[in-house]
Amino acid sequence: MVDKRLITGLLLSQLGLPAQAAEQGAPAVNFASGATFALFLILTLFITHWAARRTRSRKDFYAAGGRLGGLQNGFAIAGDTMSAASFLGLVGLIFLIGFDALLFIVSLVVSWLVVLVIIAERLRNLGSYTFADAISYRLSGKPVRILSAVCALSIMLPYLLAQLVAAGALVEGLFGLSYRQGVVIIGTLMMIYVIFGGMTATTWVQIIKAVLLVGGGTLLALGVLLHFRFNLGGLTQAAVEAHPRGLALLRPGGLYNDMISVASLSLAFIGGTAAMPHVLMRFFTVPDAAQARVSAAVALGLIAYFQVVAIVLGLGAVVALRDNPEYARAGTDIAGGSNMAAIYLARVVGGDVFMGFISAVAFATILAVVSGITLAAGATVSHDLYANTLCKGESNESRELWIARATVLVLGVIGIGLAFVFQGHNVAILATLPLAIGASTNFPLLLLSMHWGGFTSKGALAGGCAGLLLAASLLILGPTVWVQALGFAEPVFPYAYPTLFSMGAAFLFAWVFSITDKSTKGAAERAAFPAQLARSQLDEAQG
Amino acid sequence: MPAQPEPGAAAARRRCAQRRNRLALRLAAFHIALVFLYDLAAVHAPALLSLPAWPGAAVTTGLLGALAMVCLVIGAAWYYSWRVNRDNAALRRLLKAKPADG
Repeated sequence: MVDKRLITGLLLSQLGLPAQAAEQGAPAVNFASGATFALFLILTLFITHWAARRTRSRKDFYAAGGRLGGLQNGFAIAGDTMSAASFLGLVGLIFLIGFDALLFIVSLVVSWLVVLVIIAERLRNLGSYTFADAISYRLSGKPVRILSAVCALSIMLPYLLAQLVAAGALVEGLFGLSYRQGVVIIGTLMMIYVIFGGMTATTWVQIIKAVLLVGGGTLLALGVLLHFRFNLGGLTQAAVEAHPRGLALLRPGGLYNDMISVASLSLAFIGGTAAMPHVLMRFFTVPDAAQARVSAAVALGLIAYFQVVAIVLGLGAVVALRDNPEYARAGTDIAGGSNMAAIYLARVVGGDVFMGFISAVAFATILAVVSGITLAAGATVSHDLYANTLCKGESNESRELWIARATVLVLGVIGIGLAFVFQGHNVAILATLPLAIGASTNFPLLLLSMHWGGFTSKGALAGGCAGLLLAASLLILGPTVWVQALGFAEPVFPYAYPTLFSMGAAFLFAWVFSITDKSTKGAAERAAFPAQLARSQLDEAQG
Repeated sequence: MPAQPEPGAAAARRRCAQRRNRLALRLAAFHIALVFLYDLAAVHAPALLSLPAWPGAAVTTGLLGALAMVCLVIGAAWYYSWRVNRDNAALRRLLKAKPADG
């Protein structure tokens, strides 16, 4: 039986959320964190002011005018993907359980290969502003677009809320501000970036954050490796000796020990990461499919590199913090929870100044990610629901933009309010939901619509609904909600991730309902596939 | 209305796209299969992933395997980009040399 505390730790790790951020022992606010974050704010607000003057049209707001280069977009995509989860959460997970964190790493990296080779170019050629554009290219517009929008919002709203709650908890521990102050600061800045600067400002915020995160992580890893004279074997040996689990630190089974759980986890990471609406939206910011390919390749390289850095940091944290009475707590944990491991490691390696820098980078990471999510949510409501569903594609551009900005404002206010409500509550479900729903709905729909000529609207609706309903209901019946949130003794559904079942059901329903669809509309959609395929494969040499 | 491409050019484009499609699906399937193989080993043969990577090493085969997989994915991404660029360049040359070849 898997330890429930470990599951909670794992889920919170995915948010990079300190388990007890306000616990005594959390670091005091220091000048370096304030200075680094102030510098980040000044720079990003200046960029927002500059971007606001360039954001005039719908294309400027949703897709930065399609003017970004592959390298820029690659950094921005990496910034979107490397959330606090990749940094604080992953390091904390290695610190806490060791080997099983590697399962997350390999799935995440492979998911980006899937994005590169299967999704990026086709999505760029078929869509305009959101991934729903690509899905409804040949499938009957309205119902499929509504379903895609519902799925997208089901992913982004919990993700936004989770990040805001994480921001509040981080601020409490790191900057000496209250939880509510942290949430309001993050929420307000997020709305300013997105409402005024649109995709251009959001992209540059992501780029700066990605550079800071990769640079800060690299410096920290170099500090750890320097201590061990760049001997990975020596670092690993020291980590095994320092960890209470000893050799078991590098043995599988610390978290999951059955194939269904592990396979579900891998599928959630592969499919869920490849179907995040705010990440997919970034492929429309480049001028053509070739630049989309470059974007995905650059993002993959940065993300893969950062995962290796996280392994070094996790092992380094075990060595530096396990036997350190200032941080170590009973059992396997440390003060403030395992997600503080990277922050404390920075203090051990580079003193208070370096810790302040890393803390500010972590805060900037959350700020950048919530900006991307809010922009994508705004685009979903204004472009997918208002312009293409309500107005049937004949909306006034300035009105659509106004609705997008108003949506961002409303979402921001609602997000801040809900983050207040969720203060101190178990938000682990919010970490599981986006990946599970993404892998069970968006991913199958996107994959089948772009690669299978027999896919029809009926199949899309059946598959999408089955995936969404099954993922949501199994999550509620699983250990995360049924046991940890609702307090029942045993879960009805025994696995934390339902992806193996919900994604399987989505594919099965999509296939069955597509092949049994004998309608004229279905036949027309099948007949339109060759034209869609030709368009999706357009490249610089083929256009 | 744009001019329809010549049959020869259209066939060359189609072949190029088909080759790329096959490569993409193979790369994705291979790496997803590797992930599940790794998962399978983690669940059913944990001892295999806990072996020292070389005699006396603290680094285990599991850790080394994860690092190798990360490198493999980076290599696959590089290979895919290189193949696509090469195919596109070849296609461009072909279309330039025989613009009206049926």
